[in-house]
Amino acid sequence: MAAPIARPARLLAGAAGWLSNAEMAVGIVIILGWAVMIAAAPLIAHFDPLQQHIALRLRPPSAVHLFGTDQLGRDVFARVLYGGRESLPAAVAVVAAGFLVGVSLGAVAGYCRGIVDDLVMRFTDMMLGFPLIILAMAVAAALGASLAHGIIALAAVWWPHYVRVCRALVLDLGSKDYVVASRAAGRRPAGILLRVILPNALQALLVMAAIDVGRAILSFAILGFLGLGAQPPQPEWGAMVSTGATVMDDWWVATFPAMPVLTLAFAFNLIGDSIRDALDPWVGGRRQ
Amino acid sequence: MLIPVLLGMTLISFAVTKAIPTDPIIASISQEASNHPEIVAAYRKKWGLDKPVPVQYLTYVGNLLHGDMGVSIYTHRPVVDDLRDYLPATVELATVTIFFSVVLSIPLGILAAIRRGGMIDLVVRLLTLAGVAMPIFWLALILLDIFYLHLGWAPAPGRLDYALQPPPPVTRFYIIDSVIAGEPSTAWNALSHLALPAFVLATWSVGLLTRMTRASMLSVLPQDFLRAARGKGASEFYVIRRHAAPNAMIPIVTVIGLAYGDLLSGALLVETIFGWPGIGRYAFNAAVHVDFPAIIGVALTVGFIYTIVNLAVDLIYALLDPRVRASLLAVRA
Amino acid sequence: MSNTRSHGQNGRRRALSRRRFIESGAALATLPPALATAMATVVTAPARAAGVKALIIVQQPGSLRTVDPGRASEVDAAAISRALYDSLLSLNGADPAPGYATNWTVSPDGLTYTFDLHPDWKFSDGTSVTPDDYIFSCHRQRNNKSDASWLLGNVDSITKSGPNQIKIVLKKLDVDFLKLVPNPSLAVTNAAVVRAHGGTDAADAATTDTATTWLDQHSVGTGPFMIDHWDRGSEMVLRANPYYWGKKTFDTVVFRFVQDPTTQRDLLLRGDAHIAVNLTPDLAADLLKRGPASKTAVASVPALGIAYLGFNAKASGPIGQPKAWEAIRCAIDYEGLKEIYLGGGQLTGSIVPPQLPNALPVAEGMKQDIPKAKAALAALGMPNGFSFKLTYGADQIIQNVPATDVVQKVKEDLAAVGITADLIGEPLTQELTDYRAGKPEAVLHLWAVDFPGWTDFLPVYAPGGHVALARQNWAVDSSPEANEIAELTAKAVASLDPKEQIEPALQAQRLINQHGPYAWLFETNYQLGYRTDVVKTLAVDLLSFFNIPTSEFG
Repeated sequence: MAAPIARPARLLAGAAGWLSNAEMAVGIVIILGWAVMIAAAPLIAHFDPLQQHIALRLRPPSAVHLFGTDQLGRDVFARVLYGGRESLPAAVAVVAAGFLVGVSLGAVAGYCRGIVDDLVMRFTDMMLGFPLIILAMAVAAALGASLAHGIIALAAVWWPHYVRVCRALVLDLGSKDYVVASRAAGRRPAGILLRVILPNALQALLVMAAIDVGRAILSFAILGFLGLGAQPPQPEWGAMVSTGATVMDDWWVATFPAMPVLTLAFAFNLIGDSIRDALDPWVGGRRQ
Repeated sequence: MLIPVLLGMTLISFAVTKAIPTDPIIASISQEASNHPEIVAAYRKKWGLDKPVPVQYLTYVGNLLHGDMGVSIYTHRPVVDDLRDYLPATVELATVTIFFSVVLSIPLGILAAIRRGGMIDLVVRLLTLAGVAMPIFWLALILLDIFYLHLGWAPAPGRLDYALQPPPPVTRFYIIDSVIAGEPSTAWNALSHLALPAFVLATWSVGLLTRMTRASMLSVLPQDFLRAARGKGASEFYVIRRHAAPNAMIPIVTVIGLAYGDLLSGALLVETIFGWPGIGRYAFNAAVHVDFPAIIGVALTVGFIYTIVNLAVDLIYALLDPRVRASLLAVRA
Repeated sequence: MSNTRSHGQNGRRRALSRRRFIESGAALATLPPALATAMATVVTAPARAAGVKALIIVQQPGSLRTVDPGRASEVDAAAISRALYDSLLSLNGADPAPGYATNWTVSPDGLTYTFDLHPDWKFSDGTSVTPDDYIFSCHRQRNNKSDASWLLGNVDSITKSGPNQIKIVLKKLDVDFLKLVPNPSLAVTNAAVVRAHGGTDAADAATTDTATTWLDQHSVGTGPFMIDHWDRGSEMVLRANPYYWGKKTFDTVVFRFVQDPTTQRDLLLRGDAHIAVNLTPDLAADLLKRGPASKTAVASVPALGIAYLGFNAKASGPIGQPKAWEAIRCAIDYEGLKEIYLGGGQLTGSIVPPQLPNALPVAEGMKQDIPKAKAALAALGMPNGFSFKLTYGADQIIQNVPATDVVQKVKEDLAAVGITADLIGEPLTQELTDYRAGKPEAVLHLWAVDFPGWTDFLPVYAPGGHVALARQNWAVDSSPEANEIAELTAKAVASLDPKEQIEPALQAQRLINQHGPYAWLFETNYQLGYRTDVVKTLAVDLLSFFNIPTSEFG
């Protein structure tokens, strides 16, 4: 039996595999592509994302306005590019914060079991049903409305999912032969959890986190709709898709901001898959 | 364990609600009425808002223990009545969605894992990738535009055709009630109205579940006990069904539970677009009006369903894996 | 448990048929002559009437929480209320017209109103309508302390002064009293039936009246329809009142509740709905562009709501100064705003909507004047501008126009003269709370009509008025101009004679336009889409959105 322990050497060996992985490459290209376009927005976009031309509202895509114009006659292309500066880091921050908190709690609950498990899981169950809007309103009331505070509110309702899944994986893996073997071999519990169980659990968790990035971007839409996220006229993808949805006859207003959300979510999932494969101790050396 | 969780939920919800400076009375009465102190005072008295906050909470919990969830400040109706009116539509939609998602996803995910790297795997992965990446309400608008407005294939938004009478309420799920009432055509109609919103929601849940199934299967397939089983000459199908799939199920079952909860509490936009009279909009209105009896009522209900589902999930773990069983049963007892 | 849901209760419908045959016949709609302002007129479709003739109206569930006329106050309930009940008077445009009362007289001091009533009206259960029914309904409405209970706040007594006559005595003069009376909240309900289901007109009705649950599933009024059932969130179905005093109309009216305006438009285009209530200005413009070929048309009528910026007179910093208000007023591009509200609004002269008596002409309204804005900034001692916080309801839809679009346009206009408006979007509910407490530095707000009279506007916004004082902190003694406006307003509301009202009222509005803490952005419009093959003309009521069209079948 090969001990599925993630050693640095294995990770390095995996890294070589990553580069050859076409999916990984596509994912990275998409994300880098958006990142470059977002970073170079002032060079690429010919229009100020905030500049209104009210007489030119809701114009379809053209050579001048690649993505058309919105309800206030602003250039959608410029707004999509500048919007990424808000949306992309915000979404990654929400998922990362939720992931870290959720995975830590889930790992502890699943590994310790007993009373710790019970306390953590009951608290998690409580928070699973907790309404985001109420929390966001309270955060905005206490700290003021802004994208950063929207991130706090979203992260605060985001983590319970990871607790549930992580705990399930840890419970499952904890009863596997190789873990039992490690325990019998006298490894410290923390060591077993961090070095043996978690690396294996991460595979599924990463798949889940990758899926969540796109959802996180769109979750800002509901906050923006209530003035609890980024404040207009600052462009932000979630808010752009949701306000664009009110003028769906002019499809470009909602569709072009939806495209980066779709493609980035796609890319994050590709990368999530690839990392999963790289972490997969069974794939590195001997593919079936 | 259920009661302390639900009570804890009421306390958290109540505390957070009270931290919001929006006045629920001013928020839900007309502007002119808010200029008349006697009207505002009468409403405050009606909801006990003239009393200290701890008294308000204790009164609420006291009533709750008698099965009374209070009266919604926004709708002026008992929260129980509101939930009974709005929850079934959402549960029906979520249940149909999750049912088809599970039926479709698990075989697809297993197939993709077995044929890893092959054509089937590629197609399944690309489709499910697109599914989880798709902004749901954008898709809803596009599909409604195509299949209802332009092609006329999908029925009008809503739970039934305008010409049809809802079946007599038993479960308040139209499909089941129609069958009970012996009206298969109404059941069929209800199902046809459900199809498009369920499809839209399922793009996400099918994507999620298929991908989780595939990931989970991949981590099980190469393990020694399967090799051992194969070595004994068992057929591949038998090995998958009997050994691999059950071992891969634990994370999948967990995610199914979570996805079901998400569908219950997160369908606001799809409900809005498809004229679906569900709990999403009710919960939204309750939240923005800081209507605490309704907010807590919804949170309790969703939390209750989550807890029940998660309990069921834990029990399924135990059934799937005897080694987990012992420790879980010890905890639950 | 208050389970009075009507499924299966109305056995007659199930006995008939499970299907309602919504296939609508052609409807040669006519206007209820005294009830409404007529709008669009289009073709008559060929008759293909078969079975039951139904009208399907799609509207947002919105704030529709009850259709008990004694408690409802939301505009979403008004159209339904109008279909179920009559008030003592109705409206013809903005003017009072006969309802349950055939004619009326006012005493010279303006305090005593006498109404002669229809002697032979019947409720939908066949019993006769008596003055006592009206008196009960009014007392119940006033004593239950619900949203619209202020309507009768100035009424000293309502008594029966003859077998078919009612006398109402006011506490003090109210020049617009006859415009309060048609309010759907002051409807005639069958006293005996309402009492039998828990209704009371006693002084403690706020806590003891329990008829609302029943009145949400049934109705006993004199209107053309009665409630069949109400499935909250899905639909409300009305059927014809066999004892209706007027002309027969549709057999069935179905209100379908759909939140999304684009979905509403789609239902209309597919013919699955015949009237769409909540169209955005862009969707209404789309229907107009599609023209008669789409078998749809748009009815549009002033909604008597004023969208405005209000400034806090007690704010510290420049935004509390009248010169700052003037600079902002002169910097706004009122014409440009039309591109945002399209058919959903129109310019106004001042706080009183142009369609009402004593309104300042639109020509005297606010206009963009950049040099004047800069001069005002210089006079303020801030020639390079200043900044302030502009609070608004992020989710507010000002009669189908998104508030976020309006504030973003205003922000851009102000930036052109150096004024920075920091936009503070809040949930509308929060904005209402803050504004009512007089906290924000500046707000974007909508004043929606309560009754179609100028006194619902000018006195409220003049110094010391409800809104001016509590929300804008604009007191009578805050400046000589404020004092003068208050005096002019008091003079205007002191006389029943229109000739004595008009000059002080107009002058007060002129001074408010020059010195007040407001910028009037636009007046709102209702825009309703309807199917021309089912509805020939759509009558639009200033208070209730619209009236369900009455129709004849060809």
